[in-house]
Amino acid sequence: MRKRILALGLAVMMIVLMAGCSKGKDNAQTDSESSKPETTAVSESPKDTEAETAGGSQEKVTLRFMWWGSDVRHEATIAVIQQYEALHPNVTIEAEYGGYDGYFEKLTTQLSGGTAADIIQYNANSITDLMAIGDVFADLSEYADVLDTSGFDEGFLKNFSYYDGRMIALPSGVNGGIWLANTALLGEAGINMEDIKTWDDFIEAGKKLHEYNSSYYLFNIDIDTLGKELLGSMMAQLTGEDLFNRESYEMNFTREDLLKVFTLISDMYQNNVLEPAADSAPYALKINTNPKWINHELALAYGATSNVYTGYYDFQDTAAAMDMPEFEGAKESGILYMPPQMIAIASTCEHPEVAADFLNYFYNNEEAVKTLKDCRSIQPTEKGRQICEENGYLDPVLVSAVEKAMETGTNHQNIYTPAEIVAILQDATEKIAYGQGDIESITDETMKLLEDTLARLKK
Amino acid sequence: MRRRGSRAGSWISFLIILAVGICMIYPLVWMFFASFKTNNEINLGTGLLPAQYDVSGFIKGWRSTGQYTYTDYFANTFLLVIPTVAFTVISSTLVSYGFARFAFRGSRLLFGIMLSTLMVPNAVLIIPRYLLFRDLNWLNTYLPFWMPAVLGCYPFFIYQEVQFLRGIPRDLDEAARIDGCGSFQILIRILMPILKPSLISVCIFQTIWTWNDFMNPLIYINSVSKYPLALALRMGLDVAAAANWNEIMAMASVSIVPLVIMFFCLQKYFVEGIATSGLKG
Repeated sequence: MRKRILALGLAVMMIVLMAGCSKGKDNAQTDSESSKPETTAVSESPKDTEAETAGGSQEKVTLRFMWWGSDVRHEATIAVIQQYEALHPNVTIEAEYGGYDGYFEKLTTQLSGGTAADIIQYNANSITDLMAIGDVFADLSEYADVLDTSGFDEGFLKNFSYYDGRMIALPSGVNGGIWLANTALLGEAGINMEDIKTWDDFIEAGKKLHEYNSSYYLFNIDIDTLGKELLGSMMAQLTGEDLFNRESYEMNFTREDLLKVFTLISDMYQNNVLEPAADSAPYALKINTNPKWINHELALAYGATSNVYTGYYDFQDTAAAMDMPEFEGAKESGILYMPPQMIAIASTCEHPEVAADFLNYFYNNEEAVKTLKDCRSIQPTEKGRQICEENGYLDPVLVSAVEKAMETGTNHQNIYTPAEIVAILQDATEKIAYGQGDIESITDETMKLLEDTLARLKK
Repeated sequence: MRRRGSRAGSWISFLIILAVGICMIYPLVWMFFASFKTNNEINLGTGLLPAQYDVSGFIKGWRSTGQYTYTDYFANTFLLVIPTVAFTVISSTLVSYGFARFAFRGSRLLFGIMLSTLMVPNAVLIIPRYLLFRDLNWLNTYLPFWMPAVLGCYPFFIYQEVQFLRGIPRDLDEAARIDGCGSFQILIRILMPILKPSLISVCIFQTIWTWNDFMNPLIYINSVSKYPLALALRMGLDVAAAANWNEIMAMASVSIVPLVIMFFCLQKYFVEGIATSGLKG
């Protein structure tokens, strides 16, 4: 008898389990179904300025906004969403935020599956990989009546917002390369920041500092930034071009150019301008956490202004933004000047005009700007920068770096370079940094790899 | 003399095990103490113990961004993990019982196919599986975790239990059959009690794997309100911003507590489960 009861009990349990699961499935289905009538309701209604008069209308609109960032960015962005929702009671914006880890993988999966959020933040230099999926972003110029882009710098938009003639995204901020110098430390070794004009000067200054005190190094940069960003900047000085030619699928530099850049990088390591790669490796992408930097033993950090946050450095009184060193006869400055991230509307978005209206609020409303401050680097609009500066939200050293970048920043920011090409150059940089092989053979090997990869990508 | 020698030997092995143990637990202990430290203290790496015991990391960390707190994330994790583990245990027991005790046509082929799914790399499956779940409307729910568990999609555990079952003499089944047991009753009344250690090791493995899983929740869950701990812990980590490491370390320490408790409670069975299933295979 007991056996039977037990068997019966287990059988009942199995059925309950199955039922529980299928019930969950039903729920999911009704969820998606219940969202469908809404969409038809909106598309039936006159579509013109629905978004602007949205406050008065009854149409319920739900949008999803996905971004990555730190807690500060999360809190500020959620606050702006709440402000917008208060002004437009019919609009709900679901915040989908997280850390940077895995964000790109998630985004590409969602875009491939057509399930991406309506408003999407992405990295400016991942555009080639994202657009390879298809026309994943809506053309923002179609919503010019609700989304005012007049506050943005036109050249900046032209350079980063357009892809195949369509305006696919807006920059979330402006971001310049910064050579953040600790002038007190340089002065200690008798080095004047203003005298460093060329890469030769730079190497000499590095030698001098290390000779003055063998635990000091001039340059604080991680191999990732060196191989993925600075290498492109150096190359822009030599060639006046992007690394990669988007039309012909060829590299815009010759073997000699590459050899020159690799030799420069190698000289930096050989002459102790840089801390040995093995010592600085643990602090990759977090160079401000290097104990040597915290203890003021590294004089100059290179990075993007968007990466310089509160607590990045503690020598406010003696900090200055140095000019980027150049090759003799450089064709361009090579200075990084690009958006920290882009914000786009997905082409699968069912209410693009509402999303555009939200972006308009996000970028142009004074209260929104005051809430967001510099959580996505320095504001992209003229007015936004003004508001932040008036209220003292910005670090003056960063402002001076961004101003320098605005004046002389290079147009060629390598945002279209495919990830595989970047990886090849990065690997080569690492080999040089760790002294694995001579420069000539590393250059040859890299050129060969690049050619093979380009031939494959072109197909 | 001889006894003293073996005693010294056991001391040496004890010291070696102790040293290895300390090496393994040190990062966890460091993590716990780091939750009291300031960012500067963590970066400069001075010693294990913090300068002062400031519990604000736990309080602020628990509050998270304010929209949702770690209470939500813990609840989500339990909701994700407990059904997944329960379903896994039930389904893999049933499937492995079938493979271990019943000779049916094509059983070897099916067993081979089942094992071959173990060898398909996960990276290959991500996109097709995502598309499948999208078409089933399961995205942004926990069904992508529960349903594969219900349907016995964990070949590793099935294989482990098949091996364990094969080690149990068939005489027991036959004796039970003579006494009037049906095949289902044989499983429940005879085999399950013997299988217990193996089932518990399945429980522990599946709990730890699901608990720590980052990639799958990342892809399948969109709403922050449904985030499990693995996603919540990385939520404020951006390459371009300051993170309050004490809060993250504090929450990481708290998030492993349930796992640690479970492991210590079930440790006895765990070792037995792996050792026996390995030996008798």
